[in-house]
Amino acid sequence: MGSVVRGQRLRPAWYLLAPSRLETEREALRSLPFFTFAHEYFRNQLWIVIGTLRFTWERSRKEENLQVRIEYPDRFPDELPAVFDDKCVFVTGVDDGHLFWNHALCLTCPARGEFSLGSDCLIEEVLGASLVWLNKRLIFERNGRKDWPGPAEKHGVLANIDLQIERAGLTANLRVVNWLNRLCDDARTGKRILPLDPYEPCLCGSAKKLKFCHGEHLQPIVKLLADKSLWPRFTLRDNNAL
Amino acid sequence: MAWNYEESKERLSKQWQSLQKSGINIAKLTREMDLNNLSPSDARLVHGVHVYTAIMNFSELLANPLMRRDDFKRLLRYCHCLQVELRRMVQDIFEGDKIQVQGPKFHGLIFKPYDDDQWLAWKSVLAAVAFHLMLREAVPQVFPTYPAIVPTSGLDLGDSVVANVGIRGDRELISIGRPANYAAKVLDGADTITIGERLWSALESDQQDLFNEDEGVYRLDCGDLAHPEKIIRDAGFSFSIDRCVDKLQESLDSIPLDTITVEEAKVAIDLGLLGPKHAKWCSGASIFVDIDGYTALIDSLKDDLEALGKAVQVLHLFRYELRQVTEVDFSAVTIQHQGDRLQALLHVPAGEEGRICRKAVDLCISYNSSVEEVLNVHHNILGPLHVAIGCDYGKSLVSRLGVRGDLDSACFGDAVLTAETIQLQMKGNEIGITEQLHKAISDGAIRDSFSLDEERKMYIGNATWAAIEQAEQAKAYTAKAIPSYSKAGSIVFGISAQAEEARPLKVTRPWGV
Repeated sequence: MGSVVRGQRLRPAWYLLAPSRLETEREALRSLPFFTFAHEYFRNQLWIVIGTLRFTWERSRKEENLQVRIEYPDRFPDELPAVFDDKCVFVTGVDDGHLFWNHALCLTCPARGEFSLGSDCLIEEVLGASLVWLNKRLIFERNGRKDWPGPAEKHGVLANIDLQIERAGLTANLRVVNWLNRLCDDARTGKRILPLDPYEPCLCGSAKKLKFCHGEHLQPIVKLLADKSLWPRFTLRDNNAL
Repeated sequence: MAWNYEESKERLSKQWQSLQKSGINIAKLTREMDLNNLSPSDARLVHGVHVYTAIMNFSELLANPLMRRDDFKRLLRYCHCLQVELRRMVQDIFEGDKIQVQGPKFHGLIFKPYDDDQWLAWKSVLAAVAFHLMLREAVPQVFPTYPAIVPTSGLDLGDSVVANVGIRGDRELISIGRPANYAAKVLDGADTITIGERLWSALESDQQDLFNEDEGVYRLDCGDLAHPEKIIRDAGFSFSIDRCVDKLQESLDSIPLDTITVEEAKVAIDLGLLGPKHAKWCSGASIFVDIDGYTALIDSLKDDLEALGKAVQVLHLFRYELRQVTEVDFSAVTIQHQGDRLQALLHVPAGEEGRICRKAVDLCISYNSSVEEVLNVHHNILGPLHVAIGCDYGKSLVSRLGVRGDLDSACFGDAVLTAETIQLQMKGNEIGITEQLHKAISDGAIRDSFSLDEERKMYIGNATWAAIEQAEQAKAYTAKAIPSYSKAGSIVFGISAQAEEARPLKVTRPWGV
């Protein structure tokens, strides 16, 4: 504990850099009405907290509990803490089960920037989302794991791709959607993904060159799909498959 | 007060521990004993014939202007006299026992001799003939102005478990097993005695010839018997219509009309205060809850006394929970346990039809929730069991009929008959309610959990609180409209959660998780 090796440089962990923030986090965790703080420990550069999320169903007054493990990343609070189903209550590998292969809850696509990174209330937001996740996962289990309650959203790399398409305003563009489907199929079957030529016409069908049209959003998609090292980290399955 | 998962789980856990501590002893009934003295940890496996005699035209009696006069006082007295006489006949003439009076239905058990099925079978047929004779010929002599009764009987032979369920001072003798159930199910046909295959096979051939086969059961039209009274007497039984007339007259004289008080129930009815001379009427919801598949379970275990003991304990547990839900969670009245079935009445707050109807539907859902979410999950001892529920709303008369020290609760009314009919059509994990009840439901999620069965003219659902809530929340998440409220010390999730000092969770897009 204390410092980690990054290349040749030694850098103290975030909680050593900002001990007061560690105290703030402890306070925040203890004050949450829906979370019971059990214990904490340090492992490598990570501060790890074990606790229980709980809520009561309104009609039946049934109490639900889920023991979670919160792993604070080394770049906290500029990076989101990861929340894990600590007792492995829920099975992984289920399509739309919103649970990564390592039992981390799939809470958000970080690139969406939905959480207030850097703020004091970050953990409340993350655990609040975890609580909603628990509620949804229980409903999902109850309906035979058919439909995830709420709008279906993709996970990991696919969520990032969706976000890029959404930001480019191309969700309804059939040419782009078909190109994307083909590209994903190629990635799934292990074909080589070639980078896009910025001086080719844009895929959206406008007469402009890609560089001057949607290149900003479409080129990162190709990069994401080409980088296979991202897949295990960002998909629900651990078999390196998409 | 309403149903609460955590409380239900806790009380069932305590009750199951207590049942296991006291254990259960099941033995074959081989010598005379008063079955009413059975303790909750004792049960008897009784080989005998179950006799159900019912008033087939009871709905006509309920609609009869004379019976309706003076708040049904005459009907109450009529039923009381009939049930007392039927009880006397089965005990004094045919050496059997009364198991229960279930409103217009009398349930008796004839079990002597212990080792001669042929004689036992014939004796029970003669007992049913005697009941019909009394109802058709003796009753009109004592009650000449009252509407005539059309009796019907159902009989079956076999082994059943007889147990005494309930808390001290409020125990009820119940009988569980195929013959007890089957005899009630085959009841059909005016002045007809219907018997099951096993009972028919035990009869001698000339006795069998009296019956006509009809789709697996055998029927005897009592009108076809020449000199039935003589047949009974020739068989050695001291039965006579004149004696029945005397006894009925005696019962009638002991209960003059002006000594009967019938009042409107404005607070929850205390059955202990009611008797043949004191009844209450109320507008309320009648509910029947039947444990589906329990009879089949008992039959499959009858050669294994240890497993049978477990099954009886499971029944005790179900009975306990259904009663707790009725009385503690909803302040309703448990009228009767009829074998593996419960009859309940919800009539408070008096005079508020809409609220009672809504509460009754909540009660039905709570029964189902207790069974599906607690009993089947935490006490799945002999496999999952489900309940079939029927419910209707209407005016009912509540009393207790019988002799001193052995009174049976009774609840009469059109709603009772309708609720029972609905329940009989339901399968396990099904709740059947009438249109009137469905219309009264104000909660959209509950209303949507029932669908109309046009053929049977009723609404059917299989709702539990968790299922309703989950469907409701899933819908809200899809509509991106779920509010999540937190309050100090706990988090309550719900669409309508309006806890004081509630505040939304700090989640940017709760539906987007």
